[in-house]
Amino acid sequence: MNLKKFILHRILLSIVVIFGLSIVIFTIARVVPGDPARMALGATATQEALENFRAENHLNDSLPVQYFYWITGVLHGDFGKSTVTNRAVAKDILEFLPATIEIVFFSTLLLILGTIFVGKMAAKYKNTVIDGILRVFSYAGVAMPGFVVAILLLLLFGYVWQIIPVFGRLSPGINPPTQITGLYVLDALLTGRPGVAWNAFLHILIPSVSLALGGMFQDARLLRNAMVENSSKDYLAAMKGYGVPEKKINNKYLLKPSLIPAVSCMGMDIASLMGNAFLIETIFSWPGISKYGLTAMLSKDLNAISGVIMVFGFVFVVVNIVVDVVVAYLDPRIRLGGGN
Amino acid sequence: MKKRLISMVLAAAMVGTMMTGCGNSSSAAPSDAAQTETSGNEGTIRISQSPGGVIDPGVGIDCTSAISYVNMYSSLVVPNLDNEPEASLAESWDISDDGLVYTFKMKEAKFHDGSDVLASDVVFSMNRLLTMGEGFGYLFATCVDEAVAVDDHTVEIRLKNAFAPFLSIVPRCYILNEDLVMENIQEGSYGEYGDYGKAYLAEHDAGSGAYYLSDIKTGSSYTMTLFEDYFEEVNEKAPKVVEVVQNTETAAIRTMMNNGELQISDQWQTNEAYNALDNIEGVDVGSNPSGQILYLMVNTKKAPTDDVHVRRALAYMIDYDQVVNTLFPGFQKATSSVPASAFGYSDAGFDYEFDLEKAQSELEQSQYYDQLKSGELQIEFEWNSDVPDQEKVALLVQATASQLGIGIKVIKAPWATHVENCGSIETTSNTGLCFGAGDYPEAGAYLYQRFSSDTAGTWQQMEWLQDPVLDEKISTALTTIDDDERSALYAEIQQEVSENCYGIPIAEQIEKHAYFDNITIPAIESAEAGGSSCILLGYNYTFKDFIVE
Repeated sequence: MNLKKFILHRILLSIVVIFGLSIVIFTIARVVPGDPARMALGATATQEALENFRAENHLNDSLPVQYFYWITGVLHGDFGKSTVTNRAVAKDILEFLPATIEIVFFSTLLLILGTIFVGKMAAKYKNTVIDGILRVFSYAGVAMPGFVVAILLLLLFGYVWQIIPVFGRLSPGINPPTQITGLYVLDALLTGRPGVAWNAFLHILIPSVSLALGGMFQDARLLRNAMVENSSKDYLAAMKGYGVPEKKINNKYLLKPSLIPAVSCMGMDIASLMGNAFLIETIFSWPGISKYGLTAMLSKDLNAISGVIMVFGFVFVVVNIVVDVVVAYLDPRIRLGGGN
Repeated sequence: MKKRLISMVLAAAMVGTMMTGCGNSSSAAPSDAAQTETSGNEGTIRISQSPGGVIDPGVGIDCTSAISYVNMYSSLVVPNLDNEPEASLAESWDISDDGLVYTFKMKEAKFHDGSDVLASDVVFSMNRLLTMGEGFGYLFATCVDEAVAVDDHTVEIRLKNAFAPFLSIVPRCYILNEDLVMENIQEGSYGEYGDYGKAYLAEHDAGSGAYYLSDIKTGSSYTMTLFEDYFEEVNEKAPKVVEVVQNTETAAIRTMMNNGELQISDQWQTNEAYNALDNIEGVDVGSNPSGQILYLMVNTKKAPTDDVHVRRALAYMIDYDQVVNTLFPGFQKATSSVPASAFGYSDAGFDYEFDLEKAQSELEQSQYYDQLKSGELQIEFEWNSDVPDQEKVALLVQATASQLGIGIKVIKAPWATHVENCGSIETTSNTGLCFGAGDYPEAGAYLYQRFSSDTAGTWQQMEWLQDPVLDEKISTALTTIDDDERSALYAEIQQEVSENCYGIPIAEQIEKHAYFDNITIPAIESAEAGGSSCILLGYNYTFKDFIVE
């Protein structure tokens, strides 16, 4: 199978996955206990208002009928109305998604670069003090939940040293840049406002570090172990014998095959960053989609829950396709059909 | 050459980052370059409030929402700090002898878009509340028949039946700009009114209040700016811009106040957090009664709390002094299901103190005594995990009960779960801690919420009383126009619920705020001078009366 066919195959499979996900999410959101009408309108809503809400949202119909209405809307870009914000869920997603994407983008960069840097360092200095120190950091990073890291960094950089702003996407009084992509750093640069871009970047730093740290150290350990294991392979000894520079051997012939397990794991980590961001977004008052999703779940906002999870599912699927492609690129045996 | 260039760029970036890192506190503020592009930050105060909350006055009932209503919208009357109705948009009013028709003469006033506030807008706003049935609509649904515009500045509100505290609920009818709302309706389920402007009002205001909505980041914050053409007097030192940030996370609040990014904290911090905030230079902590009561609600339809002796035993097991002095410092011991500052309050029938001997005696009279002593039965005690201090109360009662050989099963529940649990008798715990506030500053509001059959199955009443006789008594009191008679009826009901121990009022909440000492908050100033503060949710936050030096 060539790479193009491989990608097409993965995309077709993903469509089936997303369709399955839509059924599962739709059903789970509706069968959990609690009256969505009462949750939406509050304890004091009149009976008439509750009935009106149920009729408007087809809650009196059977689940398959409800699903039909919902999926028809989704296929037309209409996820229904959120009972938390009283707006179209699609509008909410468009507003909140860029904020999360921005934080996840920087986390991803940190995750990838940090994994490679720390993994390579630990492998290069295996069984030395440096390896030991990195191991301690790795275990601490993996063991500490992201929100604990977030609070520690917030208190350290925002409260004690006061050197990095820690609340929201921009410092008070700064007007957001004109929206082009919704990513403040990029939009500010595109509209010629470098000061705003810098301020937005500073706001992203601690949340994205908090989000990325755990996964980064975990993946770095995988990379380190793979590099240590591969470093004793015969083909590398042969290369050394032929006089290939060590730098080239390490970066090309050792790193590339060693990355395969770490890349698969990184893919999962990156895909789950969005879902894991809700606590970070709550702590830093970051107006992202994860926080919105959490609020929706606590309020049993059916349309918003389904919409947000569909977005997360879509991101998860896309990242997995990318990871599969990268792994297939790194390891031809995979795209050629399991080494046959 | 190329490598050298890249190295220089990277080095410059590193130096820049290090300089930022080594800077002082001002580095956290907008950079010079950024500040040149700001909208100005003078006269702005920021206050934190709970997440959630909506700015549509026909939808929300929580504090975050109410703060937006009282500042961006006007009402015919508003409560003052003594909880008495005061003219606002209304110039004067007449009440018919039978108490069924309220006629309001209105002042000249302008909406934020410059158009006049007319009697027809009042009619529209009232109809919207009644039709939608959400938010504060339920207050009017049972008593208002119709609202009629007599002329441009006279409106009549006709009641179905006499409702004595009517003037106390009128503040909750916030007047909307009918033309503006109707210009922006979308498709919806309200016939010719479409969605009644719900989508539009989720992101815009259509009011005539002292502040107009200048920015909203849905779910994160909303910003209000002083309205120059407001029809009433505004303190000349009132804040020009107020941003309400929807975040109560302790570390974030502490950091923001320390950095000067937040001027007034929310009322939901722990005592330890207030102490920490108090240590920040220039920050004070003040308090005022909020009209909220911390109740231990008791399921009267589920064993063993269906036995009045078990309920009374619980009431004697609570160390009230410990609660108000240590766990919630500044709170006051409650002596009724109604706060002391509300009209119609009475402590008749309430003689519960921390007394283990009486608790033991009540337990011995209980039909469940043996099962409780043997551990066969435990008393469920649910607390709201969104208010961490509640756990301390739960553990305190658990420890006390263990001295009597009684098991208390402490259950931690997030708010949404708690609300859900209250939906049926079986899932409602034996007891649960919950704050409750009145919708208007009168005993009837509390008694209705806590004990009427209408609220059984909601978080407001875990008791599941469903007692038609008690319903009738509450209804009679609420329709008795004469103040003295009504007050006597309220006292009678309070005595009955106290004697039967339908829920245990533990303490009256004293709402705390940390705030910078250049700010004067009228409600706190009044309370600290021995006066009262408004117990109608939101009305202690009328920013036009605040002073920022």
